[in-house]
Amino acid sequence: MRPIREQTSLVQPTNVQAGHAQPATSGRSRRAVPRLAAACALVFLGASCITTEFNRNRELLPIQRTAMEPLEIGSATLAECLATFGAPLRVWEIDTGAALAWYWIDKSDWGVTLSVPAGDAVDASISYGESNEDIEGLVLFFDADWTLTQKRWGRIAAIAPTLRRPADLDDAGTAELEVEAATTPE
Amino acid sequence: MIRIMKFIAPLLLALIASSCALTKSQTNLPIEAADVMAIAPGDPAERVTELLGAPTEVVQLGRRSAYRYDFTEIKRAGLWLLVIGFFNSDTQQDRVWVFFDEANTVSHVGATLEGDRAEWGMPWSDRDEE
Repeated sequence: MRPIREQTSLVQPTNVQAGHAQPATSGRSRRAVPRLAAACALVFLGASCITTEFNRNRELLPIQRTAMEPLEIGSATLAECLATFGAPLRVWEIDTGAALAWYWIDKSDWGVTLSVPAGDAVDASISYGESNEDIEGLVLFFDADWTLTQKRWGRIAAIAPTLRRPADLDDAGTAELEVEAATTPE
Repeated sequence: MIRIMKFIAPLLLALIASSCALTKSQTNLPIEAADVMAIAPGDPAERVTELLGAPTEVVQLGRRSAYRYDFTEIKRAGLWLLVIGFFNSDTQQDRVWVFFDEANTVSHVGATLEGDRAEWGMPWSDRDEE
């Protein structure tokens, strides 16, 4: 037989306040409201200051590495390469020939910012720069007769230092005429 | 029950307060395939600028040169869930390179016309053709 004290402990506890008996759950509800309000305030405050972001940036469509296999060094022409890969992203002058580069970007990363989230968080710049050191792609080298002399696949940043930037168009009169003709279509 | 509500209420609040955005930006005008097809080896530079206008870049290649034309379209999508945001950006281009010889006539033309293939999506979604 159970003692009476244990039986009374099963009865729902009550709060006696100002002579009125109230269920204990009512007191918990009252405490829960400010807690919930505080949690909401914290969430809203946090949303405007600290934001976690997951960004993905895709630029251009990838090219297939296998597509360069039929292009044979010493015989493939610029026309064949353009027909295979389309227009390049970059064209450099190199010695008496040129180098053409094709690449694309598909990067994703997590980030935490201390500002209000904005659409500009995603850098969609198409330009190649120091921040895009991991960009992989294809660089084809041509001689003065536009015959393929070398093909390299890899990180553009690793290949680019061997390339010379295009010469400025300020030391040749013909080059200036070309620019004028280009900017004043009839 | 109250404990469950305490857990669910913030989640519901986050869902209610979420927002999304779609943006599209373009640089230059789309390049017409017919204009590119009309350029043939031997054409003078004037013919090229007549069809395509002023290039965005001119590269000197020794005594030769090359003109670059491009049109860029960027579609961005963002989803905010109060404290976490998901952003996706897709950039596609129409791009044409016209190569000239020493006489300033067209020797080669390379074109990629994919500017209209930019897509809105979430970071975890694949492109339609993938």
